[in-house]
Amino acid sequence: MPEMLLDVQGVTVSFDGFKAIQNLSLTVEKGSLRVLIGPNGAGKSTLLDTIIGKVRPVSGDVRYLGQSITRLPEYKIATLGICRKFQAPGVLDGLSVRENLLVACKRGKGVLASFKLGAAASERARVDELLSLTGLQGKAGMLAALLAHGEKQWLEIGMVVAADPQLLLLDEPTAGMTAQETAQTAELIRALAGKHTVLVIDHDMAFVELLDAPITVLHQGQVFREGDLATLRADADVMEIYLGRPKETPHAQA
Amino acid sequence: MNRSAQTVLIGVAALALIFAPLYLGAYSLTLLGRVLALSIAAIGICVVWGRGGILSLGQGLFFGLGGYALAMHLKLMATAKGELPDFMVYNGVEALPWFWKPFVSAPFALLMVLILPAAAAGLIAWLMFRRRITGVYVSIITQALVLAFVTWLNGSQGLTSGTNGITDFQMFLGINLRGESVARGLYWVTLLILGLCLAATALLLRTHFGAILTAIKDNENRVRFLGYNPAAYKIAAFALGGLLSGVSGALYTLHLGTISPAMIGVTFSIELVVWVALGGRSSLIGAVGGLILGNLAKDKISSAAPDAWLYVMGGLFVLVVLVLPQGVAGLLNHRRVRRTVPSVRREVKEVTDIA
Amino acid sequence: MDPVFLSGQLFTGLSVASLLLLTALGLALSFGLMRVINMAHGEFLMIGGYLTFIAAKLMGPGFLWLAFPLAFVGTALLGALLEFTVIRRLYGRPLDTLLATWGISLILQQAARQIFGSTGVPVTAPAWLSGAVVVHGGVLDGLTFPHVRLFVIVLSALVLGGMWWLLNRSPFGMHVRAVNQNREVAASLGVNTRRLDMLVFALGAGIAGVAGVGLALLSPVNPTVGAAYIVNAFLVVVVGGVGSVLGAGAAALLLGFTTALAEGLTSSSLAQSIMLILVVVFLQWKPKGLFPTQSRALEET
Repeated sequence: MPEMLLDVQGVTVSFDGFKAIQNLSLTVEKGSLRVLIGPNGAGKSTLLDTIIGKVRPVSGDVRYLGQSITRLPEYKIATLGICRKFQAPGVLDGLSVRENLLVACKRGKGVLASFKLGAAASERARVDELLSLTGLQGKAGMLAALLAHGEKQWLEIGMVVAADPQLLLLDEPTAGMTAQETAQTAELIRALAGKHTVLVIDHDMAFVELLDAPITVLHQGQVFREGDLATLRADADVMEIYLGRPKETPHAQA
Repeated sequence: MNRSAQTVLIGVAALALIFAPLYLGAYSLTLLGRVLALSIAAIGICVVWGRGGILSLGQGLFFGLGGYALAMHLKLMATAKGELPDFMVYNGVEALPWFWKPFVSAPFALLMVLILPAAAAGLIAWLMFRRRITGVYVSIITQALVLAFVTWLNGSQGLTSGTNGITDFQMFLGINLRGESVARGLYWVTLLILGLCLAATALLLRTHFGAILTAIKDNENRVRFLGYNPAAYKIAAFALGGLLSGVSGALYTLHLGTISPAMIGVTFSIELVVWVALGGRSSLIGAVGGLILGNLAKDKISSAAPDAWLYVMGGLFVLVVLVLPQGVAGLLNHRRVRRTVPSVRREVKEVTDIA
Repeated sequence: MDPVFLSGQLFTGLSVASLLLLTALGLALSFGLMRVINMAHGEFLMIGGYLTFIAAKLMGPGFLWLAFPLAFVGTALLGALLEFTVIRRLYGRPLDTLLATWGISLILQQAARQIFGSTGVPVTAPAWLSGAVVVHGGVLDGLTFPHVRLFVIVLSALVLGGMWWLLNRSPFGMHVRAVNQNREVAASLGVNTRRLDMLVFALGAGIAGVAGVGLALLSPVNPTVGAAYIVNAFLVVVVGGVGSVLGAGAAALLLGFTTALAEGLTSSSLAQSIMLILVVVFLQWKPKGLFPTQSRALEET
C-alpha cells in the first residue's frame, strides 16, 4: 500500500452553526496529483483552510505523515512542508519579485536568523531557478504590485514551491488567466507532481482535463464521488449537482 | 530626485549638524540638541509603523520609561547621601522606595534606560500580537496604556513626584551638568547617538528582517503560511521601537533637565507620529527629518503666535494625510511610493476566498 | 466597606457610564460601518456642552428645550461636514483617518479656547433638576441620588433604546446592518452607501452632542473635556465589540462600575490606570470584544 502523506479523518468545520465541512475524510498519497472540484459552497477552500490551520475543525483530525497537525500553529504547519496558494494572488506587494521568492525560500524562518545581510549562494541559486520556472526572469527587480494578474499567480506558485514543500495546495491557480496561460500552468503543475504531492482546486473543466489526474468531487461539505474525469462526466448525480437546481440554500455570509 | 543628489543633500545636512555648535547661538543649539534627541524616537516609529504597519500611539510610554530611569539616577545624584529626594520629603515618604535603590548606580540606570522600555514594549507587543490584535485596536490600546502610565505618575506624588515631574539635576557620571561646556558636549553626544541609531537601523532594515517586516505589512497571512511567525517579527520590531524611544527619552531628559508626565502623554505620543508622517513614514531620513523640522517650526511659530500654533499643526495633520500619504520623502522618491490598495476591496476578496 | 458609600460609588459609576455610553455609541456606529476611528468625536461632546451653555444664556431656566435640539442638530451638521470634507476621502485608510481627525480635534479645541476661554463655563441646571432623592432608614440611610445624575441615566437609557430600535427595527437600520455585513453587496442591491455613511456619521455626532448636554449639567464645560472622554470611549468600543450597540452598552457599564469601585478602594488616578490595564488583560481573553460582529469579511483587516 502506498504511503499516505495527508490523512483527513472525519473533519467537521462549523461557522456560527453553518457546517461548511461535515465529517469529511480524504487521503492523499505521497507524490500524487489530486484535483478537488465541486459547486460553490461545497467546502473546497474551507478544506484547504483546515489543512493549513487557518480554520480549526470542531471535530475530526488532520494527520500529516502520521502526525496530527490539527492543533499546530499555522507557521509550524507550513514549516512541516505544507504550502498553499490562495485564490486571490497573495504576493507581497511592497517587495520585488526576487525578494518575494527569497522570503519564500529562506530556510531559517526565525527572527534571529533573519538578522543577516544578503542571501546565501544556495538561496540565490534557488531564486534564479524559480525565476526561470515561473518565467519571470525579466521582471526580477520589479515590485510585485506592478505585475499583471497572471504573473502574480505564477509568482505565488513560485513562492509556494520555493521551500520544496512536500504537499502543495493550489486554490484555483488559473483564475483570471488566458487559455494559453492556463495550459502553461497545467504543464507546470504536472511537472511539479511526483516531486511534490499536489492538491488542486479548480472550476475550469478545460484545465482539469489538462491535468489528467484523479478527481474528488465535494458537495455540501462532504466527499461526493471520486474517480477520473470520464467516469464523473458519465455520472448523472455529479452532473446534477453541477447543472441541476442547487439543493443547498446559499449561505449569505460565505 | 535621484540617488546621488539625495546623498549629497544628506551629506551637507550631516556636516551642518556636526559643526552647528561653532555657528549657532546658545538658545538655538539647545533647541537643536533637544530636537535631535527626540528624533531618535522617530527612527523607532519608522520601523514600527513605516515598515511594520503597526501604528503605536503609545511611544510616550517607552520614551517616559527611558527618561524616568535616567531621571531617577540624576535625582539621587543631586541628593545628599543618606537623605531622601526633596519631593519625597514634602510628601512624607520616610524611606527610599525599593525600586529607587538600585538607581544610585549609574551603570544600572543606563542599563535600565535600554532594558525597561524594550522589555515593556516587548511585553505589550507579546500580549497584543499573540492574540492577533491588529490595526486600529493596537493604536487604541497603546494610547490607553500611555494614558494609564501618565495617570499613575500623576497620582503617585511620593514615588515619582507626580505632575511636577523629576527635576533639579546636578551631576552625571562625574560631570557637572550646569558647567559651561556641557551644552556642546551633550549636543555632540546626542548627534553621535542619533547617527549610530540611524546607521544601525538602516542596516537592520536592509537585512532579511526588513524584508519580512515589509512583507508582514503587505500580507500577513501569506507570510504566515510560508512558515514565518509574524507575531515574533512584530514583537521584535516593537521592542526595537520601544528601545529607541527609551534612548530618546533619556537624552531628552538630559537636555531639558527635567521630565514630567505632561511631557510624555497622549498628545506628545501622537505628535511624534504626525511629524514622522509629515516627513515620510517609510523612509528613515524622512521620519527623522520630519520630526526635526516639525519641532523647529513648532518652536518658532508657537513663540511668535501661540494661538495660531494649534491651528497650524491641526491643519498639517489633515493636509499631510490627505495630500501626502507618504510624506515629503514619498514626494521626493517616487519609486518607494507604494500603491495603496483600498481595504474595502481586500475584504471582498477575503469573502470570496471562503466560499 | 460602608454600604452607603459603596452604593453611592456605584450610582456615580452608573451616571459616568451613561455619558461614556452616549459618547461611545457614535464611535461604535462609525467604526463598525466605515472602520473609521474618529479622534475628533470627543469634540462633538464638547461642542454639545458649549451649545447647552449658549442655550442657557439665551433662554434662562427653561433652556433644556432648546439645548437638546440645538446640540443634536449642531453637532450632527458638523459631523456631516467632517464626513464630507475629510473622512470620505480616507476610506480604507483607518490609521490615516485617525491622524487627520486628531488634527481636527486640535483645531476645534483651540477654537473653543479662543471663543470661550480655557477655564470651564458653568451651566446651572434648572430648578427641577437641582434636588436629590435621599434614602431614609434602612442600611442605606443617607444615600443620595442627585436629580441631575438620574436625569443623565434616564437620558442615555432612552437614547440607547431609540438606537436599538432604529438599528434593529427600522428600514434605515436594516440598511446599516446590510452595509456592515457586506458593503459591496449592499451597494449592488441599491443601498446608497455613501449617503448612509454620512447619515450614520452625523447621527453618531448628534448623539455625542446630546451627551454634551448631560455633561454640561454635571460639570463645567472646558475645551479639553472631549479629549478626557475619548480614550475611554474608544475602550468601550473595543471591549464591547466593534459595531455592536448592545456591546457598547454593556462595556460602558462594565468600565463605569470598575472605575467607580476601584476609585472607592484606591485613589482616582490609580483606579483609572487599573481600569485601563484591566481592559488590555480582558482583550487577551476576548480579543474581539464582548459581542464580536459575526461577519467573517472583517476578520482579516
